[in-house]
Amino acid sequence: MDITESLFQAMTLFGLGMTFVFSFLGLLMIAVKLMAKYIPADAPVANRRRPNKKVVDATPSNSEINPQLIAAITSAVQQYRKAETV
Amino acid sequence: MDGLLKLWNDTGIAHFELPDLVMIAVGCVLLYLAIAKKFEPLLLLPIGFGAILANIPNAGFTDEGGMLYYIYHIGIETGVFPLIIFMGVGALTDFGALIANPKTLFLGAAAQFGIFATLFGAILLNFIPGMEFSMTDAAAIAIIGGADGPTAIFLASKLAPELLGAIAVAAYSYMALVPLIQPPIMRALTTPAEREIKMKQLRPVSKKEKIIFPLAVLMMTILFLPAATPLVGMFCLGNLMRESGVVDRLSSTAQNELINIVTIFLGLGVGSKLSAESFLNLETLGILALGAVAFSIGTAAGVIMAKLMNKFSDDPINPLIGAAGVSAVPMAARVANKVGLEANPHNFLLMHAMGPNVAGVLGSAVAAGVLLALVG
Repeated sequence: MDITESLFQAMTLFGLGMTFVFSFLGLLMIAVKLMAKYIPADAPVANRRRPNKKVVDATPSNSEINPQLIAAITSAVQQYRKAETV
Repeated sequence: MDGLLKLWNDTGIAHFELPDLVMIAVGCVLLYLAIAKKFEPLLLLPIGFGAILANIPNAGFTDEGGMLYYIYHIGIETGVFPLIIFMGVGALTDFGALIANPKTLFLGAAAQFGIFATLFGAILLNFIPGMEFSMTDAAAIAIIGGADGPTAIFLASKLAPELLGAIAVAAYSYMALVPLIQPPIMRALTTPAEREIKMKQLRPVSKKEKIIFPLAVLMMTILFLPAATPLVGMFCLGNLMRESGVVDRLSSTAQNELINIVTIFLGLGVGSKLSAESFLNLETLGILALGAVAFSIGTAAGVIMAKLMNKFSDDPINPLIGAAGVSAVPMAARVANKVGLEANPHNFLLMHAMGPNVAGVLGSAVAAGVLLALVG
């Protein structure tokens, strides 16, 4: 095989190869995006532990922490989570 | 007297020829690079030692019945060792950053430009007297641009076994030189303002997504590119063992003991191919030069793709992370982070660069599959 013919073959490989790599990874990107859309996120670890903790901790801590402060933190956390989901 | 002559004939000194000595010196240089310069020591140390063993006259390490002969034929000619290493790499890889920002898959794809562009270089080298590369040789050399050792060894063992030694040495040497090769290219192609770009924090990725991801990759490879399933399949198996969380013992073995054991034999097997007749020629110089070109083009293509994506994307993308698309995990991601920190000491790009970095591993495995399917 002469060099010109080899160069032509290299050109074909180049075109086919790059097109294929981009298409393959592009399809994978779509698959990952679909996964993100339809697979529910893990439940936050803190939420799962809360019920047990509340029984023990609720009474003493409530009397010490300012309810306004708790309200402010709660609303900040809710706003943050809303922003994250959007 | 006869006994003395016989004894003399059994010494190494009586049989040493210049090419053997040169190759032993090459082995010593590899040992020096591994020990003193810490260039990919896990591979270059056994490769260097294997090169010394393979070139000892009368020892018969690489003759039929010799240890290195069996190591090469059982583990490398069959492709088993690189595939086991790939399983370990899968078990070591966290795809979280990639799943959180899937656009970075395009950066991993763009960096494979180096592989396919180098095909031309290899063919053009045929104009130089003393160099003769067929299309299969060119494909095996070009994969150096993927900056992925096991993939390069796997492909070279299938397409051009006689060039395997030089290709493996070039691949691992350039991977060790990532912190020297990449930054000048990255700086040349980006403005200071671009290097300072801060990226949006990555979302948390659920465990289910991480478990389904390797299965989705495998499914796509089965459907579209079965030639790449040995590499991608083993990689996905390792990753699934890691993410499923139910086989921690297997995952730990794949990440540690197994990959370490196989690395020793892989290094020795590659070293056994560093014989004088196959290494001491002009073609080796050509392979080393083409490897550097492939690497540089891959880096540049990744950065340019990231610049383009930054122009059209809603979320800002720092072009530096494009350079991590050439695999070389995690060195290339660390380099992107380091160059980013030089521009803005508060901008940590490491996690963002891990996305294209692991995408590059997939990209080079897919590119290897394409080359195997079309040239092999």
